[in-house]
Amino acid sequence: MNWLVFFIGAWVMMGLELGLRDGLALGPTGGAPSFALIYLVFVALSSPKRTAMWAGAGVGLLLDLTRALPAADGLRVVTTIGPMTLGATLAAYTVVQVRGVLYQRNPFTGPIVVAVAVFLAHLLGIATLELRSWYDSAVDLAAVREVARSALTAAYSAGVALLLGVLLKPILPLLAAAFQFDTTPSAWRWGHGRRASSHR
Amino acid sequence: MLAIALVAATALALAPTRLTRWAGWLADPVTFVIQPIAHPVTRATRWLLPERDALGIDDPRVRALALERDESRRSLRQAELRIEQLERQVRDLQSGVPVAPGARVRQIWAPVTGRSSNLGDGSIRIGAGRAERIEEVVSVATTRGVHLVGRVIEVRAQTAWILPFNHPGAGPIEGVVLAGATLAEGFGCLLRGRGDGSLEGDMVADARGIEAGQLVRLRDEAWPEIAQMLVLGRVAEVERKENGRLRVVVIPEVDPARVSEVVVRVPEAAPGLPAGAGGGG
Repeated sequence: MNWLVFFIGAWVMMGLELGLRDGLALGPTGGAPSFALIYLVFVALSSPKRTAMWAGAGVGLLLDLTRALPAADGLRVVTTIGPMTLGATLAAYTVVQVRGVLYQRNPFTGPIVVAVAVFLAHLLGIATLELRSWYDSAVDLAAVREVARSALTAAYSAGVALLLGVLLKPILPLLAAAFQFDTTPSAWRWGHGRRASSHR
Repeated sequence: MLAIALVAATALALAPTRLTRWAGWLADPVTFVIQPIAHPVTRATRWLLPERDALGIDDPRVRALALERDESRRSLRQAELRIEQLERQVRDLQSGVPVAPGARVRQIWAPVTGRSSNLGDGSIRIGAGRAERIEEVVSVATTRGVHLVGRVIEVRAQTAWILPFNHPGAGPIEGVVLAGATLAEGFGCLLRGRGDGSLEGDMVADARGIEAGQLVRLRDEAWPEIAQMLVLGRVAEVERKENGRLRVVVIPEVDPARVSEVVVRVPEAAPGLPAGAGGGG
């Protein structure tokens, strides 16, 4: 994968993540599409395993650093590094693990993977913060409400992914070329072209 | 290498906040890099999806607010005159040494430039920070002059974070429901954000005459002096509980989560005094 193109894409998608979430939020529920995680799923569907996981860690780190979690006393902001880094890495790993059995020509496949990946990423993030809140008085999380919001965010992200998939379909080959994705299924299924050819 | 990165991420994720305060320093450069995309997109979104509470100049609510503003100005002038007279009396009584000259307020306009990447956090980022001498905890954000938005909870070089007062994480907040034209006809209440933008809480035991539509203002010693009497919202529902107390639901007139700009009120101490120290005796 071309990392320069990945970083430019991540920059744009994080801009959309922060810029559009406010306007697209579902009222007071706080559910909004996660453009950064949709992008991660797009990358993870076509990259080698380790590359996808590094991409997950990078996107997760950006999500962590742009999050402002109010402290339990409501008087300051807690910046956490790790919860979404781990969550997004798990999401990328999951995508890599399941992509071999996916029928990628179906337009609903991508959105379903997005829904699962977004929910998993948030779930691990929430679990980490919940665990931390047991001994760190600065962190206070309404875990059940957050899980419900994550489910809404996952479903909403899937809808947006479906729309993006339809809109971007004509330029997908161009994007694949820019990212230098290996588009042969066996390449991403086994990680190395040589090993893949030995399986054929 | 990936394994080391993941172990480090796990350790940082589980490390107590006191050991990871430095993480906040990294957030500023990241935000700085992302802002050129995020801010124009936010502006475009707000242009396409205007605030739900945007009112025309002919709207009767705007006219009512304008009347209220004019009346407040008049009251303010009277109060200033009275304060001047009282300060003169104090100076005379103390041989010319003024005690607690009173906190002055500096107001700073700032655009809302974004929110936390997790909308559930509720925090709002504004485009003003230490450079504008905004201070944490003692500064508050308002909109339309009199409506409270929230408290400034973190200040960075060029940005600051605000936690809306109606967010559940902001904790309970004491208000006063004005059942009549004056503060003497006000009754206290202890409100808490419900998570859907509204607030809910019990009135004091002797509250009477409480009806839907009445204005609720802030009167809470846990909030800075400069925030007192700012508008929290209006009573939307009143119900009597089994123990006889009234329970009210208050809806902010301006949704803090949807504002596109705020006016930050910063206490400005008299020369020689630290900020926020002016209100003491």
